[in-house]
Amino acid sequence: MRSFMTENTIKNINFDYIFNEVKPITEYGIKIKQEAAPFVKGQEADLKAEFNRIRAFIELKQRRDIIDVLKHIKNILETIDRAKGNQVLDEVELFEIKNFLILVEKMDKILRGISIKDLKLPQLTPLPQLYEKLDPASERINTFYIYDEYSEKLKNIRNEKRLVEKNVRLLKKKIKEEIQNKHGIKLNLKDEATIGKAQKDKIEELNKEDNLRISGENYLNIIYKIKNTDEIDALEQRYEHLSLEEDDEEYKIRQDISKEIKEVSHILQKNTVAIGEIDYIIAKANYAQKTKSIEPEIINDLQIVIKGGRNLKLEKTLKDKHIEYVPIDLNLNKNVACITGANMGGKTVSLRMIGQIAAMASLGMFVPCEYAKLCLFEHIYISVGDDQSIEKGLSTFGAEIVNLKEAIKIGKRKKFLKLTRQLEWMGLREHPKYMYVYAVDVLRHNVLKIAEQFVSEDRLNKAEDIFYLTREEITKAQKDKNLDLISLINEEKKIRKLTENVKNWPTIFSSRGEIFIAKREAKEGELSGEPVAPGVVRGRAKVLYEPFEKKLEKGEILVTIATEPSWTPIFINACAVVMEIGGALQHGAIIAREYGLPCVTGIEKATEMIKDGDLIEVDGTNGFVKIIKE
Amino acid sequence: MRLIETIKQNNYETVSIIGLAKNAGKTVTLNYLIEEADNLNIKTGITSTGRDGENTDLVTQTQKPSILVTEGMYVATAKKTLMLSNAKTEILETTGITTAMGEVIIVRVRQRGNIQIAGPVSTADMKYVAGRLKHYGAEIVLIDGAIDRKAVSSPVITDACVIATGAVLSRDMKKVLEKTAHAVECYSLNETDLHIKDILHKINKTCIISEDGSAVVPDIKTSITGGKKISALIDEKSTHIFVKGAVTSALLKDLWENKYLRGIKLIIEDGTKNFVDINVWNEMRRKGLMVEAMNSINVLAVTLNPVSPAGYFFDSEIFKENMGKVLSGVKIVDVVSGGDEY
Repeated sequence: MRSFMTENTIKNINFDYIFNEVKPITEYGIKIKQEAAPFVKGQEADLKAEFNRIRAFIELKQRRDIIDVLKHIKNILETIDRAKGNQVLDEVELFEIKNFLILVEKMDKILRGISIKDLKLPQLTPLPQLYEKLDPASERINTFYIYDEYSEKLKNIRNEKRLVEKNVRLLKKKIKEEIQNKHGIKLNLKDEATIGKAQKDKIEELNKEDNLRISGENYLNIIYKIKNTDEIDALEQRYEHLSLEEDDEEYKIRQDISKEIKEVSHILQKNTVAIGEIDYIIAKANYAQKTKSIEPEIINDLQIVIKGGRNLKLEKTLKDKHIEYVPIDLNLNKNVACITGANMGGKTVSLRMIGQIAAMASLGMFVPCEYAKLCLFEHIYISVGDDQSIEKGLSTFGAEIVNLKEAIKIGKRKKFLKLTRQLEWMGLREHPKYMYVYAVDVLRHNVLKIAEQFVSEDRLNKAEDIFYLTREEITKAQKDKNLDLISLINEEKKIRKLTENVKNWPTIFSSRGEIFIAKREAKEGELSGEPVAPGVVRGRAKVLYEPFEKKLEKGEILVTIATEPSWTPIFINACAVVMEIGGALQHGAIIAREYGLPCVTGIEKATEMIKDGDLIEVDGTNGFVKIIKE
Repeated sequence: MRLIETIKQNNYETVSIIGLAKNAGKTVTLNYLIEEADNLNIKTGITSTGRDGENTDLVTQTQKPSILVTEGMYVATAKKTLMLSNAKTEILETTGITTAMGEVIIVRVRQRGNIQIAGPVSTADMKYVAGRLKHYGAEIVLIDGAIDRKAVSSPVITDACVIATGAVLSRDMKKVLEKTAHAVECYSLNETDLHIKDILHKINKTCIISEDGSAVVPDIKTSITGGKKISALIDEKSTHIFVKGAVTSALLKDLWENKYLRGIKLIIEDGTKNFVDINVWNEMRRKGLMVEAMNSINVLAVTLNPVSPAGYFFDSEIFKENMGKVLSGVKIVDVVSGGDEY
């Protein structure tokens, strides 16, 4: 995994979180997961097969049954090793092997019930012969005991033991009753009686009794206990002897079974691997279902297309706060893509999402989106400037350089996905405007809610009419149900009607209504405007009314009415800017100066006079634009 | 009535046996109950907290009675101890619960013999194991609690408990009686009213409850050192103080500084959390300290061992008689002398 993603990248794209959420049940499954290697170029067919298996398990009802079996499977690798090393296994180990065999058989039966063609599921090998060895009485229950059925000898020993024990008990009981009756004393469960020393006669009497002995004495009492007769002693000795024989016989039986286990140890081991593989696939299927993930399309070209992509960790965090995650669409090709936007706007989490999806697909997992098409990568690297380390004496920038060096080394050799957050500072400078626009949007929605209320009360004809009212009027209307809004709006509409046909407002006009239009000396074929960013540049024009309606190629001149922050990214490719309105402090003018692009503004109807592809010259120093060739 | 019959008649399914000290006769009590159950054909399941049933006691090197299990009984014990046993057992389940002595295994006894028992340590694991023993067929589950592991006697797990006490506690019989009575008193403290319990379950922290049912949670790390801070929050409106965790003499003394405490009920989790010195405790109780528990522990019986491994012993008749005087309503059994019950 390390050559595929560095530890830093794994953490940074939150892949550690995602991979931890894939939870195999058995230790075998966990082992397979830990050893999982990414699918690389050339293994597309294998990956496709893995996806097929995951999809099959998402759909199959047998998944539940297999999970039930997996829950009971224990790690027997150590036991197998011990058998391989000619060790004699103990009863608990034999019990575990027996249970393992039962579960393998159960699971094999379920897997055989799956009739999907070419699924290539891992194969299990049941071992009925070994099972019989562990269930000699064919009881078909999952407990284990060194059963009497293992050998005639064992059975005989045990029968005799039982008999001897019974005889001892009967003999002891008989003696106890005799003594109790004869001496009028009561013996406790341990066959003892405590007699006070004051009862001198009784003590003398009991001291003479052959079947009693003194087992303890203190200053007040003497404790008597039943003495074994020779017959009992002999029987107890026999019992001890039988016990030793029984142990010997049991040992032989365990030795015999252990040998058989050794002979099939390779099959047992193979079964553990197959179980682990199935467990891992089911864990991935479970996770895919839980996260509503889909199978990605794997292609050969260098491309990533994601529709409705979700960053799973962020989605989880938001869900805990009852906030909905907004999925993201994107299409990345070879080349560098720039991602920019307001602070906290989600640039980094989107980058992380791309990394997550690419890493998940490479590791044979379904991906959290509505649709995904991507190729396999040899290496994934992310640099989001969060790697600064005071201990190592690296600044954010320094850390970035160190990491980039490492990534580029790998990237030179192999196909690799690099996710870098560029132009972070842009987020900062646009933030006030972003917040302002955001606030206006929230206000607008709230005002419309009030308007709908008015509409439902027949106080407005349509919701949008509310924008003819002032804030004070709206507040007043909320308090005063009788305020006639419709006539207020009609009054306002009358005023606005006066300017209905005005298309362009003059830049400057006086209180007397005089309009000032600057007259400049323009040469033949030149359009004159205001010089706001110096420099002279020639290039092809691209006329845009929306920032992304057409692609602005590198070296083209942006011709537009005016810009605002969402236009900023396209300035990167432009070599000059021409705008119809705005002065030196208009957004586009400021950006043009920051980027060092010549810029002329105030050319009326520039977007109509200049056509896409026209070769034009922009003189930002003097404020002229010349159309050289249409 | 025999002790085992009392257990059966009250439908107690799990009973813990708690020794007030090492060699107080806990294992003898366990053997006694097993034998009684065997005589009445009651199927028992046994387990213990920590290791028990060793041939010699590791602390005092005295002979300890081993646990004799009979055919049909259920046992949950660690693998290493199971392998040392001379009883023949059928393996029913490997629980996955590990202890210092290996994984806890549940077995059914097929041939009687002596067995060593080392069950799970954590409360949750013990609950699981007791449940499994019942599942396989045990009518009564007996849990042998080891020294300082009184936690298992917590009522969450067992329905009732038997306390083993004996001469080992002190050479002075009066002291033994005092300590035993104290333990029984603490374990069987009255349970708090249901509505107060509900409030405390929600908060689940040391807190002070006022007459209107509102609660203040003091800003303390542990109750042991936070007595002064708790005390500062008690006023004339307080009705209950709940202390989560251990209650110590120092804490009680700090609380007692507050004059309002006289009319307030102190609530502790259960009797096993009371670590207050007997003298301090008795003095406070005399002065009017009211104590209740979130969970009362049902003390079924006290078993006596009149012999101490240090070489001294009490006259069992006198010991029993005196114990009866300090404990009322609790069965007293001299298990060492033969299990005559009073």
